[in-house]
Amino acid sequence: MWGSVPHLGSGAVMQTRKSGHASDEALEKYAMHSLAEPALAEIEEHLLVCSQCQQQLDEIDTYVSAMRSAAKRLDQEDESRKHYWTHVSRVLTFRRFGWAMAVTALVLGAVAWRIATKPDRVVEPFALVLEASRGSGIQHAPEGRRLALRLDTQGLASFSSYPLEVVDESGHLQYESQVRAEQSGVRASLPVGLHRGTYFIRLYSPSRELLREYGLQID
Amino acid sequence: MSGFNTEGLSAPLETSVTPADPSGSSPETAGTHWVDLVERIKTQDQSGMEELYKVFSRGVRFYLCRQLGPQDLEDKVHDTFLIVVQAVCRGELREPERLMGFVRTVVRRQVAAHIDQAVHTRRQQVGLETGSVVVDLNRNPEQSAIQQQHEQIAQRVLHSISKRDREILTRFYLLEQPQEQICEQMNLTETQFRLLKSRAKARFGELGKRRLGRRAAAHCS
Repeated sequence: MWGSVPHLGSGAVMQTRKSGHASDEALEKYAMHSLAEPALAEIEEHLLVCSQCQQQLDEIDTYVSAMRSAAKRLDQEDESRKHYWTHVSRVLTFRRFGWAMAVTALVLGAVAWRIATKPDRVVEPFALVLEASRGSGIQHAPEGRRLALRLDTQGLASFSSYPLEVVDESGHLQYESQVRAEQSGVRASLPVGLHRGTYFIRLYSPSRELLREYGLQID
Repeated sequence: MSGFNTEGLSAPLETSVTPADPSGSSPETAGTHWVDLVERIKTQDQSGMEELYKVFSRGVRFYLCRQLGPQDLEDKVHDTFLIVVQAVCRGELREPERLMGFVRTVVRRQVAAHIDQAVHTRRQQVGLETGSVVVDLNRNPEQSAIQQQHEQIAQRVLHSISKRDREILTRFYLLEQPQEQICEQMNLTETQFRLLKSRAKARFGELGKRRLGRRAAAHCS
């Protein structure tokens, strides 16, 4: 007698399978407390006596609970992500222009500083040997280059040092210094480059007597 | 109730219920059976009471555990049966063919009374007595681990579907919106909605079986 499960009542309003057991949909509604009378009464009465539907309900309970927890977790993750990006975009919008200007100013400042502190390119001085200007060809040198001069002092009175002047073709002084005598002559180093034009390098005695003049063409 | 032998009821009987006949019994046959059973109980037929317990104990236990938890479950089941038997013997069951409905009513009243008692106790008692036992309703570590695994499988299912489908399932399972509302707002037919749910459930079952299979293989190796 009790080998068969009582059929759900003839007035059943919920879905049943052909076997007379409760459908998965009805059990799911029951599990989620969304079943109303009289379907609720029918399914509860059936569950009192049907172990198969009890087991099925257990599985549905597990599934519903897992889906609920998982959906909640994913929902919370989505909300956190949304909140984070909203916050970031709000901050960027508000200060974006300011930050962009600040960064640009920093970059320009760094470039300017680099240019300002960059040492001059070390260029080797232009070396020249100057001989007596009367009757000898004039020497040429490039504009703007430092000059390393060796002046021929053969035939001149010998001193330990000589005053030296550089004048342009109008006689205006461009540079002066004291140069030491060496074995092969006098070496002079002009630290600044000269503009284009004709120049004369004058060598004097310590008593300011002009000993020799050398011509120089800056091209 | 003098002369009423409750030994058969107090001793736990085998609660296995004979597997259901797929064809099921007709409502008329079932009704006749209940009437017959009620008559046997009224005459204090021990076999009648044993059959009553055999048929309903699992279901009553299932219902009470689901509603109130596992604490003192056997006592509650026993109390329920006592109430049913006493009521039947007193002739309070006017429609014997509605025995199932009657048992259901008794069980629901038991649940309501227990909840009522619990609320009342909480309101009246301020502190706990020293040495009193408080039930921990949290899951044990094994149950927590199992639940966590189920949740991970469900997350995989939700990740594997489109954002729209995920929203539909979230509305149904988490926000508990009714099917009609979801279908209207998400522009779905009832069939599409059911199909989505059944696919998700099938995927859940499939992933769960795969995980069990992997675990079994790892265990055996």
